[in-house]
Amino acid sequence: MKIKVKVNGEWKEWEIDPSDYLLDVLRREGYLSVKRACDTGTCGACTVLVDGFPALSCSVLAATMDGHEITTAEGIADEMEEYIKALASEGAEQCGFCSPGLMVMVYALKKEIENGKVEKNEEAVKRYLIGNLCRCSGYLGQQRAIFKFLGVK
Amino acid sequence: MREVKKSVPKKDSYGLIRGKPVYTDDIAPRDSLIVKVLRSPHAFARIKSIDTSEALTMSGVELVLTYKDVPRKPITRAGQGYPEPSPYDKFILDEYVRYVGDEVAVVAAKDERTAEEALKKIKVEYDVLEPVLDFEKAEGNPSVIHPEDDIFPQFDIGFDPKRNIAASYEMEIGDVDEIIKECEEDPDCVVVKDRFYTQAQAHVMLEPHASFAYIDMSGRLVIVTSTQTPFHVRRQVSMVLGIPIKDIRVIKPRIGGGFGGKQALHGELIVSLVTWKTKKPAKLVYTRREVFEATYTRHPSRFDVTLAATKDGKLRAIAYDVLWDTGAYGEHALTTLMVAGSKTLPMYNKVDGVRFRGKVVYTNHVPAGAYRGYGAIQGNFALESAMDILAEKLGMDPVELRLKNIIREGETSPIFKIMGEGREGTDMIIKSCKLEQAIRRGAEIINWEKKFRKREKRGSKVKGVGMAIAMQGSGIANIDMGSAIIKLNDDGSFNLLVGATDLGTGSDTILAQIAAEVLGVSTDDIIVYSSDTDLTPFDAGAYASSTTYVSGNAVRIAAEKMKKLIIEEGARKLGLGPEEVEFDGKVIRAKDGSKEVTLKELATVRYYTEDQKQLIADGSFVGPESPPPYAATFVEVEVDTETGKVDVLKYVSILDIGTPINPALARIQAEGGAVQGIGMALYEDVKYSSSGKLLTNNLMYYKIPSRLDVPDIHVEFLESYEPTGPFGAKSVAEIGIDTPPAAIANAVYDAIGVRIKSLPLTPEKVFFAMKK
Amino acid sequence: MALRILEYVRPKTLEEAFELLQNEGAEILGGTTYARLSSRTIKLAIDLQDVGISDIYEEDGYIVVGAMARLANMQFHDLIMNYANGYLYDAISYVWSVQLRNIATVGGTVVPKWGFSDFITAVLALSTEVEFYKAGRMKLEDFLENPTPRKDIMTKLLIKKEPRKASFKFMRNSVYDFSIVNAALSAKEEEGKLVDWRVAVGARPGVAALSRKAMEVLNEGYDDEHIERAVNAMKEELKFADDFRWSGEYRKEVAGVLVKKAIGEVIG
Ligand SMILES: Cc1cc2nc3c(=O)[nH]c(=O)nc-3n(C[C@H](O)[C@H](O)[C@H](O)COP(=O)(O)OP(=O)(O)OC[C@H]3O[C@@H](n4cnc5c(N)ncnc54)[C@H](O)[C@@H]3O)c2cc1C
Ligand code: FES
Ligand code: FES
Repeated sequence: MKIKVKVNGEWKEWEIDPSDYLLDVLRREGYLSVKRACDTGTCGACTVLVDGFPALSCSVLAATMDGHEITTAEGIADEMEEYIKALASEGAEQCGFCSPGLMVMVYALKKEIENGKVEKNEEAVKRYLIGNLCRCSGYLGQQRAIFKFLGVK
Repeated sequence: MREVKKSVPKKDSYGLIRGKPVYTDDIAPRDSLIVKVLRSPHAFARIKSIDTSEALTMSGVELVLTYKDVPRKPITRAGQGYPEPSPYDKFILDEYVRYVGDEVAVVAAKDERTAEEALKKIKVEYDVLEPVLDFEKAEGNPSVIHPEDDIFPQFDIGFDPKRNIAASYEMEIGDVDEIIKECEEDPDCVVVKDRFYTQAQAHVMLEPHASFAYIDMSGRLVIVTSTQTPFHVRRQVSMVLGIPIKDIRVIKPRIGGGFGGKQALHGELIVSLVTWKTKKPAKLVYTRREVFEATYTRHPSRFDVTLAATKDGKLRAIAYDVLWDTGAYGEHALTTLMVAGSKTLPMYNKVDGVRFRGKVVYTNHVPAGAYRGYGAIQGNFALESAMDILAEKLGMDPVELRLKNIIREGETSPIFKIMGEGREGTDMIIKSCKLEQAIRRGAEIINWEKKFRKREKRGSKVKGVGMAIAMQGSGIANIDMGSAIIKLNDDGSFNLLVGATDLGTGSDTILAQIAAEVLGVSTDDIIVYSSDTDLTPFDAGAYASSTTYVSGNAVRIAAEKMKKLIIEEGARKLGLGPEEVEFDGKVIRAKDGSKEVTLKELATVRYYTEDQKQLIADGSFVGPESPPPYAATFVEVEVDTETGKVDVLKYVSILDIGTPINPALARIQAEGGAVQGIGMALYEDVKYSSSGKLLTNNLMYYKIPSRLDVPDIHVEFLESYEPTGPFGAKSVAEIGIDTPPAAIANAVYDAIGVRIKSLPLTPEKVFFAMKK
Repeated sequence: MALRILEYVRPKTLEEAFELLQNEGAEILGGTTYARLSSRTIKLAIDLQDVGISDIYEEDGYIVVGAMARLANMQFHDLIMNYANGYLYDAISYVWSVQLRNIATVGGTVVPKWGFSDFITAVLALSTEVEFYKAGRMKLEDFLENPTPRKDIMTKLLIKKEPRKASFKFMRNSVYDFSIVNAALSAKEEEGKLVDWRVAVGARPGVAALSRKAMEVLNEGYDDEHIERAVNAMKEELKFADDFRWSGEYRKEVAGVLVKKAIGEVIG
C-alpha cells in the first residue's frame, strides 16, 4: 500500500507493507538517526515527533501515519545547536546511541514547558524523559546539560 | 599541562548527537543479504534430524546452513590475547544445542521477512536431553554438557568437561586452615563465615550486536562489526574459516556501547561464512531478545567467604571458595574467576594467609562472559559484605576496620605475582594509592559519624548508611599490547592511527589529548582514526580498563618520537643541530632566537620541495604492571519497612584514578559505572523458566535503572599521579561499578538490621527477610 | 517474530468499521503499541482514527472520553485535570512514558483487560462506564467481570462527574516498570461525610477488581478499626497470585499497605 507523510517538512509518498512499523520505514528511507534498541516500547531510541508530539516509532504502524507529519532528529538538529553544545561539553553522550531520540524529546519538552504543560523543575523534566534509557552515562551528565539548556534552576 | 586534565568535548559528539549514520547497521550496504539464526527452543538437546529443503526452495532465500555445512573447528569466542585462557569449546554450529537460544541453523535471504519465513520452514527433530539448570548441581552431574572429544584448552586451565568443569583455579599463601583454626580457638579472635550469591547481569548496551561482511575488489573479506576487539576478530575468523589473516579486514565503526558484551565474536563468524560462500554482502543485526537470550551475561556466582581477625581488627586470613556459572560455553571463564580474587584480595594486604579456590561450571543457561568489573564486582560484593559482618562482630566501625587493613602507597601484595589473568601475574609495588584518603573523604561527605547505626525513622521508612571499597587494574600486564602511529600532514596537523577501540567512551579524544600534550599542539590538530585492521596498528582492544593506560602510553611514545623527528628535521632546515632548537607546537626556533621555521612551513617543504619525506612515528606499549585505581563508596539508603523497597538517597564515590586526562569524560565513566552497579544491586533481576528459558528477555522485564531511579551521585577524584601511566593516568572504566552492591547491602543492614546476601536486593526479598 | 497484517483499512464511520469487523480475521487497531508485541496474523486491520471517537467532552453529568483518545490527550484535558483534584492526571502520568501515552488509546487500554494495567484500576475506583457500539453501555466492573463483547467496538469511557475524593497507589521497584500491585480508592463527599466507597486493586497480577467487602466495611465507617477491617477484608476477598517476577504473597501484603495508605489519603 501507499502512504503520504510529511517528514521533516517535506511530503513523501512511500510504498509500504501494512505490517511495517514506522521505525522500519524511516530507516529504510534513510532517516538513520532513528534507532532500534529494544523493540518493546521501552528505550526511547526510536522516538520521533508525530504531529509535533513524541511517539515511539517502533510501536506505531506505518500505515496509520498516512496523512500525518513526522519529525526526526535530522529535522531539528540545526535548531538544537545550543543543546548539542551543552550535552557535548558535559561529555554526556557516550556511545551516542540514545542521543538522537533524547534530543527529539528535549525539543518536545522545551515546547511543552513554553506551553505551560510541563513544569520547569528538575523532577518534572526527569519524569518527562523517563522513557529515554541510557546505559552509558548514568543520566546525570545528560541532566546537567538539559537543565542548563532549559534554564531549570 | 594544557591539553590533558581538560574537559575537551568528544571528537564525535556533534555527529553522534545529531544522529549521523555511523553505526554498523546504518552503513551496511543496502543490498546486503539479511541473515537470521534459528535458535534452540530447548536447554539441552541433540539434533536428530534437520531438514532445510523447504526453506531452500523459497524464493529469495540464498543460503541455509546447519552444522553439516560448516567447518567443525572448535574455538573460543572470547576476545582475548592469543593463546587465550578460555576453552575452545564452541563450534560455529553444532549437533548439540546447549541453551535456549543456541544456534541451530542460519538463513540468508533477500529481506527480513523472507528470512523469518524461511526459519519457520526448517524442520528440526530434537533428542531432548536432561539439562543442568542449577549451577550448584553441575559438577559431576550425569548430564554432561560438553560430551564431545574434540574440545580443548590452550594450556592448563583446570578444564574437565566430563565433570562439567570449564576451568578451575586454586592458590594459597600461608596455612589458611591453621590460622582459621587458631582464631576459632582464641577468645581474642573472631571468625566470619558466610555465603553470597550474585546474578547474571546483562550489559544492555543500547546498540544491539551487529555485523556485516562483503568481498572487496581484490577478493578479500571485509567485516564491519560492532566489536571491542577488531584484531582478535580478524585472528579468530581466520582460524575458524581457514582464510589467511592477510585476506581479512576488520573495521570497527562507531559502537553503541559494549561494557564487555562486545568482547567476543557474536555474529562475525556467521556473516563471514555467508559472504565467503555467496560472495555477497551479508548482515546480521541481533534483536534485543537475541541480545538477552543468545549473547552472554555476567557470570553468576556463589561465594563462601571466611575472614579471621584479631579482636582489635587486624585481619589475619581471607579464604574464598567460589563457584562460577559460565552457562553453556566457557568464554572468559577462568579469567573472570581469577579477577574475583586478584582484584579484591590485595586490598587487604596485611594478612598472614590468603586462599582462593574456585571452579567454573558449565550449565545449560545463557553463556556468561566479559562484563565491566569482570569478576571483581562479584568478589567485591562478597568480601565487602563479609567485612561489614566482621566489623559488627568485632563491635568496630566498618570504616575503622578498613583503615586498619588496607593497602597503601609503597606496599605490595604477593597476590600480584601469583594471580594474573589465566596465568601467573606480575610483581608490583604500588606507586600511587589514595585509598585511605578516599575513605576518609567519603566518610566526611556522607557524614558517617553522625549517621552510622542511628537508624533515623520517617514514618515506615528507616535510613541507613553503608560503605565499600574497591580496586581494579589498568590493562593486563605483560600480555596486552597497544600501539599507535602518528603522521604529520602538510598543514601541520597530525593523523593519529590507533587500534584502540572507542566504544563510546571517548577514548579517541583522550588519546588525541595525550598526543597533543606531548606535541604541544591543540587536540583539534590531532585527527584520530581508530580500529581498522588494514589501516591502524595492532591493539588488543578495549577491555580490562586498558585504553588510557596501555594505548595511551603507546600514543605518548609515538608522540614523543614524532616530537624528536620534528626537532631534528626543523634543526636541519635551519642548519642547526637538534640540541640548538626548540619546538613549541607551532614553531621550531633556534634557542638563541636567531631563526625559526613554522611546523607548517617545515611540513610543506618536506612534502613538496626539499629533501622530501613523510614524518611518521610509531609507539607500542605493553604494561609491565597493571596499576590499580581505587574507590571508596558511601551510600545512604532509606528502606520502607512496610514494603521492603530500598531507595538510595545519596551516593558518594571518591576515586583515585591517577590523572584524569579528561575530567568530564572521567566523571561520566564514574557516574555511568555507579548506575550500572546500582542496577545490579537493586533492579536487574534475572528469571528463568523451569525448563531453562530466560524470561527476563526484554527491557520491559529486565529493568535497568531509569533516570528516576538514579540517586544524587557525588563523584570526586583525588589528585594522584601514577608514574608509569601517561601523564600520571591509571584507569576509570571499571572501578566505578564495583562498589554499589556491597555498599548498598551494608547500608540496608545498617537501616534495618537485615543482611541480604544475594543480589539483587528486590523489595520482595528485603520484605520477607524482615519478616523472618 | 512480528505481528503480520495482510490488509489495512481506515473507515470513515463507526457503522462501516463495525461491518468490516464482522469479517473473519478482522481486528480493531488502537494505538498498536501492545498489539505490536504479539506475533499473530491480522487479516484485516481496522484503524479507527477517522471514525470520530477521539474527543473528550462533558455530557449529562459524565466526562466522556472517546475510545480513540490517546492516554496523553486524556491526561492533559481540562475536564480530567480539574476532576477530583487531578487524580486521573496523576495516575495516568505514571503509565510508562510520554512517548507511549501519546500513542496508546483509551480503547486499546480498557478492552484487553490487561492485568498489569494502572489505568483500569484508576478508573475502576470511580463511577465509570464503558460503551460499545453494539453491546451498548455498561458499568466498568460489569465489563471486567464478564466476557468481552465479541466483534464489537468500544466507543466511549464515561466517568460520572460527582464530588469524589480519590487516591491511586502503586508499588514498583524501578519507577519505570509495571506495577507489582496497584490500588485505587475513592469516596463520594456528601454532607461532610464520605460515602459510596470504591476500592479497586489491580496487578494481582489479574485485572483490577473491586473489593466489595472492603467497600461495605468502609461504608459503615472509616475509623481506625474499620480501616483495619477493610484492609483485611480486601486481602481475604481478592485473589493474589505469582507470576515469574513477584509472588502472590508479596502482592497481597503490599496491597494491604497501599489500600491503607489510599484510605488515609481519601480521608485526608
Ligand atoms: C511497553 C509498554 C508498557 C506499558 N506500561 C504500562 C503501565 O505501566 N501501566 C499501564 O497502565 N499500562 C501500560 N501499558 C499499556 C498501555 O497503556 C496501553 O494499554 C497499551 O499499550 C495498548 O494501547 P493501544 O491503544 O496501543 O492498543 P492496541 O495495541 O492498538 O490494541 C490493544 C487491543 O485492544 C483492541 N482494541 C483497541 N481499541 C479498541 C476499541 N476501540 N474497541 C475494541 N477493541 C479495541 C485491539 O484490537 C487490540 O486487541 C504499557 C504498554 C506497553 C507497550
Ligand atoms: S526501539 Fe522503540 S522504544 Fe526501544
Ligand atoms: S550514551 Fe550510550 S546509551 Fe546513552
